[in-house]
Amino acid sequence: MDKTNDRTVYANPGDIELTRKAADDNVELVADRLRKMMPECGFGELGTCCVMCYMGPCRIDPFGLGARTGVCGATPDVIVARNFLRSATGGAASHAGHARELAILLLEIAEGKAPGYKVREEGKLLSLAGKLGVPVDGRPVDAVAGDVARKALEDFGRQDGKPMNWIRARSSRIEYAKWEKLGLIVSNPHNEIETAMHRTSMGNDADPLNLWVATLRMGMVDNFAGLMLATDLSDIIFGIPTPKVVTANYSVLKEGEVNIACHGHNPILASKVAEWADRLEGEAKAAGAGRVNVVGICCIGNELVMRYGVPYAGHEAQTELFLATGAIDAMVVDMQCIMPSLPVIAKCYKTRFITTVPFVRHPEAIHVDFNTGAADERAQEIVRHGIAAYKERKAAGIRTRIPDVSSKALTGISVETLVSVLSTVDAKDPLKPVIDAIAAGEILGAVGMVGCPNPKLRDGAMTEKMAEGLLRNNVLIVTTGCVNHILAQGGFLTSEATERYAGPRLKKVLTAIGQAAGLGGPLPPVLHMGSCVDNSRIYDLLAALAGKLGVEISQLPVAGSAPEFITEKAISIGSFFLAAGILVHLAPAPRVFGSPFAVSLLTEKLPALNGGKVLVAATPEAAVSGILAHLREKRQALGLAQA
Amino acid sequence: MRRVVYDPLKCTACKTCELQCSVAHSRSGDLLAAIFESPPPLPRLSVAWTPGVNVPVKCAHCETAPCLLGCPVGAIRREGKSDSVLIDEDRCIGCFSCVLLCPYGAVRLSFDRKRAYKCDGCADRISEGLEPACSFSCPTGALAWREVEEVAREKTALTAVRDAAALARGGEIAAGEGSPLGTILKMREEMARG
Ligand code: SF4
Ligand code: SF4
Ligand code: SF4
Ligand code: SF4
Repeated sequence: MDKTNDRTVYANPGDIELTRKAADDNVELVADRLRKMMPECGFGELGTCCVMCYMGPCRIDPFGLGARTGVCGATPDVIVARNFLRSATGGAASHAGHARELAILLLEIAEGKAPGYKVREEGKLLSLAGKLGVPVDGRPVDAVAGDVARKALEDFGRQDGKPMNWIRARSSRIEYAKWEKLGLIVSNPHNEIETAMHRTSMGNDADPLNLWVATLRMGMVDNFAGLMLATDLSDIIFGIPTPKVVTANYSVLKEGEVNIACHGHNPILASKVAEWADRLEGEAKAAGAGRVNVVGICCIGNELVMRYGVPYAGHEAQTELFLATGAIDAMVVDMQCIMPSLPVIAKCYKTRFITTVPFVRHPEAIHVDFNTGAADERAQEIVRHGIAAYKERKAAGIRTRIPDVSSKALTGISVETLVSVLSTVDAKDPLKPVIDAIAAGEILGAVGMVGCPNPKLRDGAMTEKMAEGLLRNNVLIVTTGCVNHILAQGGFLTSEATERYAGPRLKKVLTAIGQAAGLGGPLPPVLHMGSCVDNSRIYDLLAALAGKLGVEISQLPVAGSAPEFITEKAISIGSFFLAAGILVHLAPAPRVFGSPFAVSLLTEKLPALNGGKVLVAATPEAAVSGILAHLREKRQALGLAQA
Repeated sequence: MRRVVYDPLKCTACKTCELQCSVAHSRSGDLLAAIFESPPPLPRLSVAWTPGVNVPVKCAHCETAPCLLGCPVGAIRREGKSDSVLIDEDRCIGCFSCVLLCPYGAVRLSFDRKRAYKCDGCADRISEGLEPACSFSCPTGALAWREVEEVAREKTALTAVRDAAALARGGEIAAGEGSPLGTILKMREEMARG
């Protein structure tokens, strides 16, 4: 391995320090493997590589000398559309799986089969029940919870072709009508996923347009059967996020304590681990440790931080580096974004790597079969693994190094929180100050920066530089997913960031709100709205703003950006935002360039049809200027002041 | 002396080399932009195929280049710094003597079919201190940017290993048989097989 490797990460000296340590320890990291992979296969990048059948694999020569269609005759337009739909399906399947687990848990709670859990947020349960047409008056909470859970599960099993309960209950009339006209109202996530896999297998759908409509439908599945269902039910079971100021970055690990890192996505497991960490403090002490210190990585970090204030460790691309500190006793994971390299690296440091989901396993990992019926027992088992490892690791004298880097971050800005903060400014009409500020051009627009840290763009600090550029131009930022970790570590989730980065107009608004809300400083310019599934909160916020203005979401001066995306989940989320008529900035480039049809659909035809548009820009400057141009265009169309 | 050398046993025919050669010879130098260029950039090598082996075929930049020697108008020259054999497409009269003379089939006809073109050894990249695009991009090492002398030395060493193995097998056969002539013939057979 190249030991002179000094891949820097914006404002995070900890990454550099640990990259060096990993090199000394002979541990290969994602960046090293990426370098060996370069350049990556161009056919794959263009989306014109097809492995859907065994006459292939087929690849289309983009320069026109070689093959122009696959062996079966599929054109590059068809191949690209099929591949793209399949990745949107992978993303939607992940989110639907996440949501379905929560629906089953809610039913188990209602039926008394999950003793470790309860309904924490009655208010949200009742209001959701109301929207779903579940009777609430005079009924016990568990009975209502059971019916809500059954409404959710009905969506997964529905065969009558009627619209999903969640779409009917949770979309505004104006958006619903628009989707209905475009043929985007879906009935059952599992059926959509089945049909997508079916139609993209060899010898089915060969109409690129039909395939792209299916991708937008998959976006609807993603948002309503995945993100929104998951957020709604998580809030009911684990609580609505509230503002919390926490510490982020490597220094959340503690020398002399049992460090357990939770990684993955669904709070079902991690919330229990966090709970038992406190309750088993005695055992930790007996083992010679101060206490059990649970920290959250990746989206679990978001889920835990915004509800319980658990230390906010770091993002997905840092997972290997966290292990390389040598200070983690156990890393426990559920699903999604868990690099297969991790258990191997964990072994080098005698860290116990624990998998908990039947379909997420690794030959080098310890598997604890977590289930909601025995959640408490399993969580104890996991924490005890950490305590046992602590003793072993001390005895083995594993060299540790915890970089002394940390930052503060304000997290947990759910829509409910935001509304309550804003009602300190205007109790009767909480959204009014924001709308007024947008109308007056004090806030030029808002951008949802979401998604992952991609090692391909981490070097250039794509996310941080984009955030800086947008803030200087008075654009408010809301974030979800690992982008939150990046921005938290960069110091963007603080009042100081408003002073430092926000343009003068934005600064004025945020300061006024911060003062009225008694924050002792301006509201941060980047608002942490949660994990990836909490993109539904961003949608809810936009729907509320559009509703107040009496316009479609697509008319608002807003945009979405996945500035360093990695996963298929980002593709499905992006597909929903396209369906909702929002500009979506993507970097790296999505795999569509091999299809002239796709390029013209996503950049010209779709914008004319519903406002949705893809912007590809791999440098922060290009991304910022593209987004600003879009926001200005939208403002002009609404007749708003040009800032 | 460095050349792009190839090992057909390692080539998976993924054609990354062709793609990246095209990109390296595009105006933009970027895949996502290059595919929109008109005329499209041309790859200067091609992965040829015969059952069981894929061979990435490109100009070998021969020391005594038949194409250069045979060009009647002097349109082919050797560029000193990168040691590449280059076709000056402006001077090319399209007689295609080079196509007939090249033992590799490395010269091709451009889109308008009036000019010959071929691998330029990535002279531009080399002058920037980079290695040729095809070897740089090959994910399996089937194409590699190497010192030819070193390749030869490695081959010599491999030959020794192969012959030693064959001799050892021949020895085994000798132990079981009487006639010295028969043994020698068997050993020759084995050595030829390698
Ligand atoms: S489905 Fe068609 S394009 Fe895809 S691998 Fe098979 S023959 Fe090739
Ligand atoms: S890049 Fe390498 S493996 Fe792929 S076709 Fe070219 S020579 Fe073969
Ligand atoms: S074109 Fe053919 S003859 Fe000329 S230098 Fe290349 S390999 Fe040799
Ligand atoms: S050396 Fe350069 S020009 Fe020649 S085949 Fe390789 S990439 Fe193409």
